[in-house]
Amino acid sequence: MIRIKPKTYLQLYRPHFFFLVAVLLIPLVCRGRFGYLINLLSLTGIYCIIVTGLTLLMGFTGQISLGHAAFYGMGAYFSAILSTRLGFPLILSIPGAILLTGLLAYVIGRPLLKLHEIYLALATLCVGVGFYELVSKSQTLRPITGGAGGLFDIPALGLFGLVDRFPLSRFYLIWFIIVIIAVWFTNLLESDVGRSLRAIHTDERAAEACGIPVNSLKVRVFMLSAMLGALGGCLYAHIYSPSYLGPEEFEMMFSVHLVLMVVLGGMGSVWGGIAGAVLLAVLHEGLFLIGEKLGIHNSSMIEQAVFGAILVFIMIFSPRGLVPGLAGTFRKVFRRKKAA
Amino acid sequence: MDSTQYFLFTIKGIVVGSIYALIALGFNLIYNTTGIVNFTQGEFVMLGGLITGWAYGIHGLPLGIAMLLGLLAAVLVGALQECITLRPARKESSLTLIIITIGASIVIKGLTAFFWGTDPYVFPPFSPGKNIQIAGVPVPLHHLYIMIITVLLMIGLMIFLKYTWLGRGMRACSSNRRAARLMGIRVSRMSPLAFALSALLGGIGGIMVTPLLSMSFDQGTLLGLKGFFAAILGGISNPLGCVLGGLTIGVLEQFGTWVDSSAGQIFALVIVVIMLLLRPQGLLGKKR
Repeated sequence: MIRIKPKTYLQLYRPHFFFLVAVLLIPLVCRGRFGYLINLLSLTGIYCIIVTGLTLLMGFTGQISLGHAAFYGMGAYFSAILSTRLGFPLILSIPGAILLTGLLAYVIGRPLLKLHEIYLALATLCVGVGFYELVSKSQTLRPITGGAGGLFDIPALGLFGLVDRFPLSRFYLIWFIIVIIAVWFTNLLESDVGRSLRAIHTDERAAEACGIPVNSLKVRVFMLSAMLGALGGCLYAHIYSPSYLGPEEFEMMFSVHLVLMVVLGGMGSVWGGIAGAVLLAVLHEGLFLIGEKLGIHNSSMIEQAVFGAILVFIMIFSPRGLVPGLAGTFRKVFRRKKAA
Repeated sequence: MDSTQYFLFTIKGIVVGSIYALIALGFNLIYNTTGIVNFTQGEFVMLGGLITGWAYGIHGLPLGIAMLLGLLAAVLVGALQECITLRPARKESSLTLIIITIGASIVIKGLTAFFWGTDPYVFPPFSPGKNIQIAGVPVPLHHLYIMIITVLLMIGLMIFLKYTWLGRGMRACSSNRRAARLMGIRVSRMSPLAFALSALLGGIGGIMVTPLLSMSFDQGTLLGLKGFFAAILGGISNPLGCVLGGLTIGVLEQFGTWVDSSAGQIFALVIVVIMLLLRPQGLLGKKR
């Protein structure tokens, strides 16, 4: 969707405002029986951050990262190792982890983004598999990474004691970061960089002919998506689960789940990633509840099959993602009604 | 490390590598016909081995019949996958197609786990217990069978693709689909055939590997992945390259375990990444 009409700030940020209000109100709604939702939404929020980066990569450069869980894991592990084994304070270890991950993304991305998309997909696949194998199974690295047993007692992000006094602040911290990212992305997309990205997406060669540094932009987008994944990882390690960090969270299947989130929410916009992560969480909980009602115990297998089927379905019928596809049909229906 | 150990590692590497080579050949066939990289290849391997083990172990069918069932299952799933998931999406970008194959592999895995359970299945190797002596080291006959069958299948595939009408037709489809159709090639038949054949190759690989490692629903993925890396290493468009890639990955993996016993596979992965950075089309592949 290419919109060239200039907007007022009010128009541009109206959805963000409503989003912020929703974020503020949600914990007030989730009381008592629904208390666990806060925890679930915190994790979903972390996933939103990662998926937003991946949406940018897939939606605007047409590349795919089949091992994005590795960047997520790198953020978590780098920051955990820097803060536990090397004793760095969090204010250094978190940016350090993010920058390290970005550096790795640069090393991989720069040679590969010039080539056909499949090569980057392969390399990220290798990175994804490799990272998981290294962290979970390597004997030589065990003393650093903790192997399959994981790392313990990672410093929690205390925010000067705020977290201890108000447990809800963890939820709010994650979702405020998301609001900031959403605002920043909208800014980015409306800026000249954003227009360049949209040009690349429309027709890469034409964009290059117009003088847009296509390859450099693609590399930067790849780095950005990796660093957002790392940010999610740091939040996971220090906020969501500071007592234990294990490799299970970063296995290959999670990379596929991330892609599924992008596909569900749509690749075209800022909100796509957020919508996708939330939708998948809803789907996950829904399938679990249905499974319980039907008496199926190992619903996780059927869940995988359902996820796979949904992925295939969406890619066949609406490759830009579920939400844009539905919105498109919605618009067509409305136009017909108006004409009538 | 003395010479016997070197030898053992190499033999084991070649055996395991032959399995990867077979899987890579499956990738090669589908790629040469449709230009798609089919990530479900690993599941074909899994189905071949698992269904055979199920038929033999749970239902007591004779091994031959069980193997036929396993191959049949793989082939059916392969053809089905083409018809249901890929035919409607023919014109999409290669990335969309890749995601579709990944989704299909997840569906197959999930359904298999749901209906057949999560426990591994196994059946005895052909000619159990008999070894032959190579350079003073006893090598199980089964290992030898694997190597020979892989070489035979590779040669067969090369002859098929280069000299038979059907094989050349498949390659024509991948080169230029419309032109192939204009030349009288039944393009709509070629794709399911390629998938079925590729599934057959995968199923054979699964049958050969199950006596060694047993087969559970989730093992196909890793095997398929390694076979894929083998294809990338050697060049996905060239059968000889695929086999060489498979053997290389197999041997590298074994030597990798000598360096770091549990994460030996990393070694092969690192080589693949380096190969991607330096020569993405693989050792023997054509430039895209």
